[in-house]
This record gives sequence, C-alpha cells and structure tokens, in this order.
Amino acid sequence: MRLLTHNMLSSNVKGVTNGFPLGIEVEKVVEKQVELSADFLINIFSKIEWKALVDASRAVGYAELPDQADASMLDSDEFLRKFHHALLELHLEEGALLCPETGRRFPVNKGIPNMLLHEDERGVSHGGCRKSNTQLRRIKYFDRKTSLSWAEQCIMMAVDKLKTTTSALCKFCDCGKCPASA
Amino acid sequence: MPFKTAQIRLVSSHSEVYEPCDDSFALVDALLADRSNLIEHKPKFCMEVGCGSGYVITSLALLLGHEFHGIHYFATDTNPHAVRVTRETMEAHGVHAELISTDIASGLEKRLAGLVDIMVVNPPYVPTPEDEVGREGIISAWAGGEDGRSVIDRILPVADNLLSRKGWLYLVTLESNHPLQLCLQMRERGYASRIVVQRSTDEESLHIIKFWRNFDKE
Ligand SMILES: C[S@@+](CC[C@H](N)C(=O)[O-])C[C@H]1O[C@@H](n2cnc3c(N)ncnc32)[C@H](O)[C@@H]1O
Repeated sequence: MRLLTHNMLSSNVKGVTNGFPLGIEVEKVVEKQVELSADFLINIFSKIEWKALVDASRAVGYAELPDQADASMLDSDEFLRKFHHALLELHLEEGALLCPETGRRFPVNKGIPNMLLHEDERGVSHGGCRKSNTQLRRIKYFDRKTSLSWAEQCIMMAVDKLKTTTSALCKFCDCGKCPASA
Repeated sequence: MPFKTAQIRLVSSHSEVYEPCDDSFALVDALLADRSNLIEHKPKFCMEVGCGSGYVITSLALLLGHEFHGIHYFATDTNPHAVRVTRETMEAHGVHAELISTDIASGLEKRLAGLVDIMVVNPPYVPTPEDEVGREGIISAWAGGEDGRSVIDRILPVADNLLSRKGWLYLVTLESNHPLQLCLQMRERGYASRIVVQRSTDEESLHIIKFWRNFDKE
C-alpha cells in the first residue's frame, strides 16, 4: 500500500465523523522504484493532505519532506523527487491502519488494507455459505433458467452431479481464450 | 504490437475467486474497442470495483500503461482472496494497482471523490433471492438480488461521487438488470450513456454500458 492510498483512505466505521487521517502501525515497509511523472505530481499536489503525507512518511521512516509545502515548490526537482518517493515508492507491506476516532484497527497484509467492517460496525447482515467454485457456477446458470430456490437447486445439483461431466460445466467458456476452454 | 486479451495469464487462482468468464471478456473487449479514446482521455486514476481475479484491471493497465506514465490504478473487492489473486495477477504482468479489501469503495469515498477518470465494474448481476447477496465466498461474485440490481444500485451513486468531471464508467449488465432503465436513471444524475458491446450467449444477454457526464444538455 502506497502512502498515496493512505492519503485517500478514511475510517468507514459507522458514526465516525472525522476518520482522516488514519494512524499507521508499521511492521514492514518496502521500497519499489517507479518512474517519476512530474505531470502527475503537479496535478495531484492540490488533492493531497500535506500534513497527513508528512506524518505518514515519518511513520514509515522517511523524514525528508518539509513540514509545509505550497505549489511554488513544484518548480524544484528536488522537491518533486521527495514528494514522488514519499507518495509512490514507499509501501506499507505489513502493519495496520488505525481509526483516529475509535482506534479501530484495519490490518494491512501483503500490502492490502482490509477495510471490511464487522456486522455491528455497519449494521447489514451477511450470511455464510461455502461451496466450491464449480458447483456454484452451475447454480449460477440454473438460476437464470429456473426459479428454483437455493435449497432445491442444491438438491437438484447433487442428483445431477453424477451425470454431469466437466466439459458440460465449462460450455460457457468455449471462447478459446480462458483456461477453462483451453 | 496488437493487444490481445489472451495475453493475460492466470498465475494464481482460488476456489472462491471468480474466474474470468464471458462477462469479463466482454468488458475487456469493450475497453479494447475504445482503446484509442481511452489513451486520448489521459486518465490519472482508474479504478475497478469487484476485481475478482484481476483479469480486467490487469488488461486495462496493460492497454493503457504502455502508452504513457503517471496513471494510477485502484481495485477493490469484498472477497479478500480475490484481492490477493489480483495482486498476483498484476505482479505477474509487471503492472501495479493499489488494492483494498472493502465494500464497493468504502473508505475511499471522501478523499477520492471526483478524482476517478475511468471506472470499470463487472458487478454481481445475476437475479437471486435477496438474502444471497453479499454472502461470504464465491456466491457474492454473482448474487445480485432482485433483478440482479441490489449491488449495481449501490454502486451507481458511489461511481457518481468518485468520477471526475471527465470520468467514464464501463458497467457490465444483463438483460434482466433492465439496462435501459439504468441508463435513464443515470441520465437523471446527468450522465449520457451508450451500449458499447452487446453479446448473447446461450444463457445470457450481456450489455456493456459506457456512462459519461453530459454537459451539453445544460
Ligand atoms: C462477476 S465477478 C467479476 C470479477 C472480475 N472483475 C471479472 O470480470 O472477472 C464480481 C466481483 O465483485 C465482487 N463483489 C461483490 N460484491 C461486492 C461489493 N459490494 N464490493 C466490492 N466487490 C464486490 C465479487 O467478490 C466478485 O469478485
């Protein structure tokens, strides 16, 4: 996760009024070089919350950004280089983001922040039903043909399973492009 | 060198991650057909909601990325396995997107508002009982509730909020989602639209709709 993304993320916990910026808990930071685009930096500058970027870059161990910045600094190559490095080249690989209001921890694993909320944080119910990809793919197609209930489809599928070959399952992927049809 | 969708290799898969299928191919074909416009458009931020295997966002990044730099990609999915598979698919093709496990664009809506120039969405669009929407696992890849519209109807206002003035949205829909009604609804929000790809398979009639803000009307 780049600090650009940190600068674009706010806490989404229900009831939080000021969820920005998220705190950062660092376990692992990686650096990946990317080509500098001055156009992009100049364009995005006004959309970046500078203080949040400065604090985030310090949290991940980069202390080169000035406390204050204004658009006139975009003329300086040195400033652009530092801005570019902080915004795009430092990745929070492992760690967490923290809601500034509630302290809610959003884990970051393999560079991917998890902003999914638990039921009580969003108040929408989520069921749970795990089936294999292929089984469910078939149900997907059953669904369009029939108005059977989920349970009826499961039964039908079980009965049907013995008769059905894999090629029949993949008949919708006869595009010649996807792995199923290869 | 002409761009081929078949260039996308699936380096990683997971039993609970949607494998690219006719709908994914139709969406990428729509992007390919619009390729020169997309390049001309000079997007800064591109985003996919519901990235699944990463097939679409990787194709988009390859299609645009070769031409010029300074384009940034975001992709989200509620299925954390999907987001991980997307990361691997992108890495294998030498492209990068910032990935977030989240519901639609939850967490990004405040700060990313008005910044997204290209948004691509292949949503869960299959009509199903309402209680199948948003369940854990692979079912959430297609379960779309009544008329297959439950998730689509939640995505459209978010897209409207995130899209920049010049923003474009490419959306996969099924005949049973009532695509024309969707276009009319978006018109009320100030969007023009066009069906850019229409494709019928044995089982489904897919429409890829492109939306853009219509300033001429005012
Ligand atoms: C039809 S699949 C498309 C996958 C991939 N984009 C493609 O074209 O092959 C829909 C994807 O949307 C995801 N999804 C479902 N509901 C979502 C939501 N509320 N927010 C974000 N993603 C969602 C599913 O997990 C699934 O990966």
